[in-house]
Amino acid sequence: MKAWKIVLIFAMIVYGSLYAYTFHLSPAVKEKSFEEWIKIEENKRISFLQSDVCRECHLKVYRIWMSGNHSSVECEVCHGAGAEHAKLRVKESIVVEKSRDFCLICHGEISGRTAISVVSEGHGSGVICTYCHDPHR
Amino acid sequence: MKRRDFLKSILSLPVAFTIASLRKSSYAMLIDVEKCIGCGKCVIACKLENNVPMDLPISRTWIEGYFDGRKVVMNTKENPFLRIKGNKGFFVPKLCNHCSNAPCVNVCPVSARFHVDGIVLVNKNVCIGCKYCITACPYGATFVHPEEKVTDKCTFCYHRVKRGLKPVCVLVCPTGARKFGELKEGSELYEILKKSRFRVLKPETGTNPRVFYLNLDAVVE
Amino acid sequence: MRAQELVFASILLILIALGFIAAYQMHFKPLIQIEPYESALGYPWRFLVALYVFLVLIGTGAIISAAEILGIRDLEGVAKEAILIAIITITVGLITIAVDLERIERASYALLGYANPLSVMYWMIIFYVLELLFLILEGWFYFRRSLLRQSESKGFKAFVAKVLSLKFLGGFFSKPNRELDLSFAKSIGFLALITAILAYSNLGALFSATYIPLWNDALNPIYFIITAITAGSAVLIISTITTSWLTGEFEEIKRRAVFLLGRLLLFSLLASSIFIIWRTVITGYPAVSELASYSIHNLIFGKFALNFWFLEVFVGIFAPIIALIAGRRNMDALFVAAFLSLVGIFAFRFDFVYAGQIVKKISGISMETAVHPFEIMFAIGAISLLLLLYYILYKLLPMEVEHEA
Repeated sequence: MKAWKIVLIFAMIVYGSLYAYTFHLSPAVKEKSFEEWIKIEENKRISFLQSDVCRECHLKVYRIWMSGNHSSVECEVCHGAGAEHAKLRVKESIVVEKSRDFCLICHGEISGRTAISVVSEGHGSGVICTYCHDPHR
Repeated sequence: MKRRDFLKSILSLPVAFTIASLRKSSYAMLIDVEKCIGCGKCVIACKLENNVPMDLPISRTWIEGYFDGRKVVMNTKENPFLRIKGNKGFFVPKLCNHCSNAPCVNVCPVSARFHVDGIVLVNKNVCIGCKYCITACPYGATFVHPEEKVTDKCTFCYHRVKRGLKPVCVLVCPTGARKFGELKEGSELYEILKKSRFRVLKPETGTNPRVFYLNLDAVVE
Repeated sequence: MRAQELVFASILLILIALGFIAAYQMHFKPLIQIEPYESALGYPWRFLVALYVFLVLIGTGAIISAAEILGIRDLEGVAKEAILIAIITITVGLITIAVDLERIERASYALLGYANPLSVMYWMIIFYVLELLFLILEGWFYFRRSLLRQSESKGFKAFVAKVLSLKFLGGFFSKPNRELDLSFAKSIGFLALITAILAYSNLGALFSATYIPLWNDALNPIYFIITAITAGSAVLIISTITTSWLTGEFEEIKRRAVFLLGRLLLFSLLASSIFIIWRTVITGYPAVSELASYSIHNLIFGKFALNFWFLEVFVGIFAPIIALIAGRRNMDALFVAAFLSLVGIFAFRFDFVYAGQIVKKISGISMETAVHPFEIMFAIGAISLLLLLYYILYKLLPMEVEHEA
C-alpha cells in the first residue's frame, strides 16, 4: 500500500481519537470533578455568623442595638469574625476595639461619605469616642 | 441594550459549556455606589473568611476610591482613604462579576472554572496555574493565591450561600451598599433593578456580568 | 579538539544546572524565602511566556523554512538540521512553559480528561504535543537510511544508531528502503506541517481572543507566522554557518541552502516591517479605543520605548535588512543579519507579552514590571540546554545530506 494512504489512515485515527477524547470522554471526567469540588466548597469553614447568633447570649445588648442608630450595622462589622467566639465563648476570641481611630474608620471626615454622619477632627479631638457615645445605640 | 434585554440575557443559561446538573438558582449582586463609605470592612472580612493573605495587595474584593480624578485602591488591611482630602470623591467596591459569558470559564484549558447557580467557581484541585484566566478577565478580579499556588477569586461565598447565609462582604457592609440575592420574578433584586437606572462594568466586552451598580460615575472603567 | 569540546560541554552543563536551580527555587523556595514574585503580585504572563513563544515559534518556523517536504530542492542541505532544530526547540519550549505553570505537577492535566474545547490554549497544547510526535516520526523516517549505514561501523555512535533505528527488531527495521522512507517522511512531514499550522495559529489566537487591545488583532496569527519564518530561517542560517566554521568544511549544497534562507529571511523581514508599522499605527490611532491608545503610547513613548525603537525596529528589522541587501553573497553578513534579527524577534515577543498587559494597571491588580533574576537564570539554562542537545545530537546522528536524486 502506498505510504501516503497509511499516513492518512494514521492521521484519521489520531484526530478521530482526539475528537472522541475532547467531546465524549472528557466531559464525564470534568463533571465528576465539578461535583466533587462543589462538595468541598460547601463544606468550607465559616468565620462570620449572623447577629441572631449573638442574640442567644447577649440579649440585652442586642435589644439596645436593635433600637438604636447602629441597628443597620451588624455585630460583626465592629466585633470581627464571630464563629470562633460562638464556639469558645471567651473574651479573647472576639474583637473589642475602643480606640478613636477605630470609630473614625467609618465616621472620619473624608470626601465621598454621604451615606453616613461624619465627624471632623475638632469634635472631641484626642478623646475616645465611647467616653460620650454608646456604640450600641 | 435596553434594561429588559439585559435581564432576559441574564436569566437565560450561560453560553459556556454547562454541567448537566446545573442548579437553577441565579444569584446576583447589587452595589449602590452612593452608599459606600470606603471603610474597607468588606475587604478585611472577605480575607478572613476566605483564607486570603491579609498583607499582600491581592484580594477577592477591593475598593477603588476616586478623588479629583485620582484613583486609590484598597486591597489590604490598611485603609489608604483616611488621609486623603479632596473635593469630589466616591468609592466603588469591585469584585468578580460572575459573568454569564465569563471569559475565565471560556479560556481555562483544563475546565477548572464552571458555572453553578449563576456563580462561577474555581476548581482548585484541577487548576494548573497557567494564568490565562487572569489575562482574560477584563475586571482584574482573579489572582494567584500565593500559598495554594492556584488561581483564586470571589465565589460569592458559595459555602455560606448554600446554608442560607449571605456573603461576608454583604454582611459586614455598615451602610448596606451591597445587596445579594436571586435574580428571578418577585425577588428583591429584581424589583430594584426594574425601577432603577443601573449599570455594569465594561459592557462592551460582552461578558454579561451579574454585579449591577447604581449611581456609578462615568469615569469608572 | 577533545579538550575544547569537554570545556564547552561542561560550561553548558553548569549553566543548565543553574537553570534547574532557578526553576526549583521558583517553585519550592527552599533557599530564599522571597515574597511570591510570581503573579500573585504583578503581571500574570511574563518572561517565561515570552521565552516560550520565542522558542516554539523558532521550531515552527524551522519546519516551514526548510519546506523540504514541499520539494524545494535547494533546501535539501539543511533539511536534517531543520528537523533537529524543530524537535529540540519545541521540546525546550514546552519545558519552559511547564516551569511557568504554578502547579508544575499538573502539567499533563489537559491530556488527562480535563479538556475544554472552547479554550484556545487547550487546543494549542494538544496540537503542539501532536506536532512534536509527528516531527519525531518524520525525523525517524528521514534519518533511517543514514542511521542504518552508521550502525554498521563500530563504537558509541554505531550503538546509538542501532538503538535509534530500532535495528534490533529485525525484519523491516534492518533494511533501508529508499523510496518508502522518503515517501513516508514526505507524508508525515505534510501531516506535521498541517499540525504546525494548527498549533501556531492557536498560539496566535490565544493572544488575540482577549480584550487586550495590543493583542486583539485579527491578523495576529499571520504576524506570528511571518516572525516565525524569520526566526526559523535565522536560526538555520546561524547553525549551518557555525557548524561549518567548527568542522572546517562547507559543502556547496549547504551554501546554496544558506543563500536561499537568506533571501527568505529578507522577504519575511520586509513583510514583518509592514506589519509592525501598520499594527502600531492602527492600534494607536486616535479615536479607535482608549485602552488601545494607552498600550501603544507605552510602547512608543513610555516604558517600552527603548525596547521597541532600538531592539525591535532598528536591531531587529532595519539593520538586518541593510546587511542582507548589502552583503547578499557574503556569509558573514548573513550570519550577522540572522543574529540581529533573532535579537529583534525576542524583543518583539517580550514587548508583545509585557506591553499588552499594561492595560491591566487600570483595574485593581497591582502590577510590577521587573524581570526577576531567577527568570533570567532559567532562560540562560534553557538556551544552554538547547545548545547542548543540538551539539550532542549533531555529533551522534548522521548529519550528511540526503540527496533526493
